[in-house]
Amino acid sequence: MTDLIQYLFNGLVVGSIFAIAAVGISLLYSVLRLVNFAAGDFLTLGAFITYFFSVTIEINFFLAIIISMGAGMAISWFLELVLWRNLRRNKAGTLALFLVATGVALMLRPIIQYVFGTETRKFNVDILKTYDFLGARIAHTQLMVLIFGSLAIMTIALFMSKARIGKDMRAYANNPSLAAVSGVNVDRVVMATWLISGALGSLAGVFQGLVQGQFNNAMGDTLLLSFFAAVVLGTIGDAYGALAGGILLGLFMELSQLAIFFGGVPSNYKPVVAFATLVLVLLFKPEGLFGYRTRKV
Amino acid sequence: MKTKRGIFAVSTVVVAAAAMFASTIPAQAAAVNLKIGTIHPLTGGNADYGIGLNSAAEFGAESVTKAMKKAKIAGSCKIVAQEDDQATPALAVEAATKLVKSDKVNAIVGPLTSGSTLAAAQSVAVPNNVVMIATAASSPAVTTFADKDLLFRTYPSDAFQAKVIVKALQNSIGKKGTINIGARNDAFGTALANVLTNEWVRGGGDVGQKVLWNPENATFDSEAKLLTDKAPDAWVFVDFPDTFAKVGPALKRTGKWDPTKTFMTEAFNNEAVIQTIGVDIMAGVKGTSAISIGIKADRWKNARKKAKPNTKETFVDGSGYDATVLLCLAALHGKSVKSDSLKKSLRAVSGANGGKNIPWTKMAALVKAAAAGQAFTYQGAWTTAKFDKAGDTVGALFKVYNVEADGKITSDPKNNIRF
Repeated sequence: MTDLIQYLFNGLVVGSIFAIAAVGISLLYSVLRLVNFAAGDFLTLGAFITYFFSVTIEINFFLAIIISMGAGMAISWFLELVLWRNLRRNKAGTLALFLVATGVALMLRPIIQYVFGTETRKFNVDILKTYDFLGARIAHTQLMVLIFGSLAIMTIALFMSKARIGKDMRAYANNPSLAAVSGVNVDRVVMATWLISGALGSLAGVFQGLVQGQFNNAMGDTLLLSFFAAVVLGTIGDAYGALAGGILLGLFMELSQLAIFFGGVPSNYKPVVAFATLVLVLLFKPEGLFGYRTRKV
Repeated sequence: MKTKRGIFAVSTVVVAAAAMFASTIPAQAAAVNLKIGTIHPLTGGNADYGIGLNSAAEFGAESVTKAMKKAKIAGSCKIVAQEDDQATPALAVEAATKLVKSDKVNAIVGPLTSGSTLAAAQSVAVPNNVVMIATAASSPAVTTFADKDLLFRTYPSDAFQAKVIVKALQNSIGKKGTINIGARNDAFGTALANVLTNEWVRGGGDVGQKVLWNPENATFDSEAKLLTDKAPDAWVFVDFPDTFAKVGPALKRTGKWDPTKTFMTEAFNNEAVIQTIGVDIMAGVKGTSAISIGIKADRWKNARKKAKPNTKETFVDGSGYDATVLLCLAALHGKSVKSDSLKKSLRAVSGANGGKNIPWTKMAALVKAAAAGQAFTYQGAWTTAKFDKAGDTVGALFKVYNVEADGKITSDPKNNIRF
């Protein structure tokens, strides 16, 4: 039982990070049909900006996170204005957008390395503090991620279902032409998508830096594949699906090590578990866990 | 007519005499200009090692070229490009491709890690027939790799290190104890974990848990749990600093891990690395590390410090120096920078074919002997390589180090193990 609680908890923590990053990627795809390959670098940037304000300048850690999310939004806003908007106006296709996103990622990486260096960094947070919960050991940083991650996930869900702009985003994602003729302000929707995606990327980066304890300039790149897997698992372009996909993926990976699964899947096969799950789901439900099949007439 | 014939005859004699004279100074007749490229991590958690090795390689090339000038031997030995692989195989392949295709190097010094070395050799060096001397790759897989005799290394194989760890463990917990092994899932980690398991079990011990982790994991708490659930008599971790900076805190958080019962590998034989991971996590850890069996290693350190005053030192720097000097001497020996000649001459100058011992301190004698095509034994600052058939160095010396409560690293020479 203790093992189950421990792995469940570990899985929820990993899953929360996957979910928050995945929802940003999914929103961008649903609204702009853009596969954001720079998402991993936004994570790294978020962690480094938080580090700069909370450790170098020594302002409050939570304030530093908010500034970092603001910086993620500002960079996304800037890129939308100077790059993405012009590409859309020039009718850039999916492949062109994909290549430009890859280019942005390749530009961001050396910039981050140049500005922040390659040294391993850590936040001024006690990474060794733990709490006992029903026999399981829960790290202070994991608890922080779980609480604030859950809050962020609930806020996103509420925003998408209740806020006007959230509803507009969903409408535009479902049918851009219909949304546009129904009076949805397309530029506003696109900008909001970028801002949310930038903020969530930064937040996921801070969370990842917290649970790892330390981070360096390569942090985001190594996780990008898992984020995309979460997006696909939960149905491409579905924000709610990405949230669920991220959490499920984290849970599958960690729970697979429980002894009840063939004596426990070895740790180095965790990615295999994740992607085997993805393949199985797609085999029986090609549209993803939360998608619906379009019936041909 | 007679005069014309006389002039012709005298000219012929003069030209013939000049040709004969020239042939007595072969080095001047065929100047050898060796272009070397290096691949080491210059950024990331292993950057200290890469920067130190690069500086040592530069020092080696400069020392040989200086000695060649002094001995009036034409040619040069130059490091023409230094690439950063961040200790990542994919980047090592990119770096090697750039060195071979764009910089047109004749040989490569590096990479640092086994994963990078095997990837760069397999994808670039071997298909392009370029000689590589890895500076710290220790995996036994390097020995068995089908390299067309192009891959050499100046760092000892983990086949030795596994024996050293087992000996240190046996001294600490006895032969019958149970150990848990945690290792990174790459060429270095998996190979050493396997050799270590075999050695430990052969000695009468038991392996409780063997956990291989992917360095790119999001978290390591589940791995830490597996490794600490049933407390063993000791733990052994095979990893690099970047990853263990995440694994270490996860182990500590379990509350069941005891650093004083833990043995680690050579990458942690560095006080800066201990500080980065956290003294509160690493204090009490023991480890094993190859150390120099070079000649006058302290004198070399001082000479390098003088030549390259701004470089941070690491324990393995001399390996980069020896790799470079051996390549330069091999080029002089074979009077060619072609790989077929280099790989043959590397054995002739490293002592594999016998010949008198010449230490690195006598660089003038080394270059003269090489230029004269003699077989000799180069006694380096790090090792006396005597490359075997697989391109491995034959000797090794290991120390057992301790991480003290203040993060300082200490060792007792009495515990050193020589092969």
